[in-house]
Amino acid sequence: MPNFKVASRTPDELSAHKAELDAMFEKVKGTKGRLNTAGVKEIESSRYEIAELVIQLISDQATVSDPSAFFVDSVQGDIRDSYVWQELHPDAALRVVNRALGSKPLAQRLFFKEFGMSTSQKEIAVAIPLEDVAAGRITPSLVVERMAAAINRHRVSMILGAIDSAVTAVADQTGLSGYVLRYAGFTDANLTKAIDGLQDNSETPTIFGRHIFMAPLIRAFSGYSDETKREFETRGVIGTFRGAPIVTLTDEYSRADAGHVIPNDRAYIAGGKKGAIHMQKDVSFLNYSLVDARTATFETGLRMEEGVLVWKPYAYRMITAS
Amino acid sequence: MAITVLNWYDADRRTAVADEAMALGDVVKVVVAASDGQRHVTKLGDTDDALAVAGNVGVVFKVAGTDDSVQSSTASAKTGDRTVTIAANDLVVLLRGGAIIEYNISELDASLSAPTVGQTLGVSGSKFATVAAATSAGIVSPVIGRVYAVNGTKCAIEIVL
Repeated sequence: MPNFKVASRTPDELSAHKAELDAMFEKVKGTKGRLNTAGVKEIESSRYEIAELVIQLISDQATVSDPSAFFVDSVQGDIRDSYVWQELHPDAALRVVNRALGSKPLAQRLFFKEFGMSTSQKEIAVAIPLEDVAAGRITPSLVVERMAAAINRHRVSMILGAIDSAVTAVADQTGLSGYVLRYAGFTDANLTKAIDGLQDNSETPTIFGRHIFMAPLIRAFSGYSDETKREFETRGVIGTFRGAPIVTLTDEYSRADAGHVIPNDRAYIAGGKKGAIHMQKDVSFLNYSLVDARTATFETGLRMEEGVLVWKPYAYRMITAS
Repeated sequence: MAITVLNWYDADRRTAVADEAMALGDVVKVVVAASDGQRHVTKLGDTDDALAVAGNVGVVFKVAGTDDSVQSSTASAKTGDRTVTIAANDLVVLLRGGAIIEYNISELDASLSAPTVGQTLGVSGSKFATVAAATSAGIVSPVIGRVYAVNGTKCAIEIVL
């Protein structure tokens, strides 16, 4: 089962706490459209509590809608450290050899290869004019939701982009001709080979992609069934193909970004065992919030340091439109 | 190189000092008249025929002294170089006659792409090569190594000199 991160709040608690956040900023609205300076001062004196709530809501909002658990193992790192991953070198595979009675041994040796992980720092900052809040034009909960959505879009894009780059059209590990990691053409035959290639490695594959890429074609495939698995329903399962769940990645058209974040011309297939690592280093000490009564501004910023390492492309398959 | 000494217990493996950067598995010679009394080695050059005598040539190997040393790495520069390499002045293991060393065929000279058991080898560019390739640039006499066994993509070579 994918290792989903657990939000510290349930969806109902999230809604309640966002309403509380909005209520805090309601205080700045005075009578007849004027700014309530006492309300501003009260916010200013509570700015640390407000900031912490904003940051927690952002984190929890992102966790609730984050599907990256299907693709990567998430690990936490320290900004002071550099990281490498080691595994036994394939050339060090031990083998059993013939032995004549009385002969001395031909000894073998174990040695290792390693992969490096590079991370980079990102930030997202939003400033809210207190006048916009007083006029009811912007609510803090709206800001929280949009920041969380932006963080999620960034992470999904980063993870899918890393897998897309790492999974090339090389032979998979079945040893059979015609079975590769990346197929051109979303056909019954290609999808079957992709699934079979993963299942041959004792994997439990799941098929991911945009609804518009998969649904129109996959309904005509002979292995398709529209039975959904209940535990995945909230995350967009639209059916199964030869036993593998088909999950449409949640990706609402964004007017602000004038598009989707997930490509509409490819599907991603991942097994139960991950071949990629998403590292997040804790830079939460760089997060900030401030209320400046002089400029009538509430500003909050979130910093993140993260990176993705696809160390085993064989755990994935890609199918593109052509 | 990811080489393995198949007869590790029995092989003649002695301490030497590398006088230049070299790779694990390179064919080397003992330098004449080193000043500190230790055995120093450099890579066997294509015109070092006169120095290719029994006891004076061998294959260089190095055992990693730290628990993080690896054979290959894609780590970023800031993690430092963690691969097992041989630099000038490193203490290395000199493997002499009788040692059986297993290489990846891809790590040998390009001419030696399809070795056969018992095949006589030359040395070109301090790597084991076919006699034909070593004749044009390298050492074919005396014979330093012979193919001992072939196992898939690996080739075991015995130092016979």
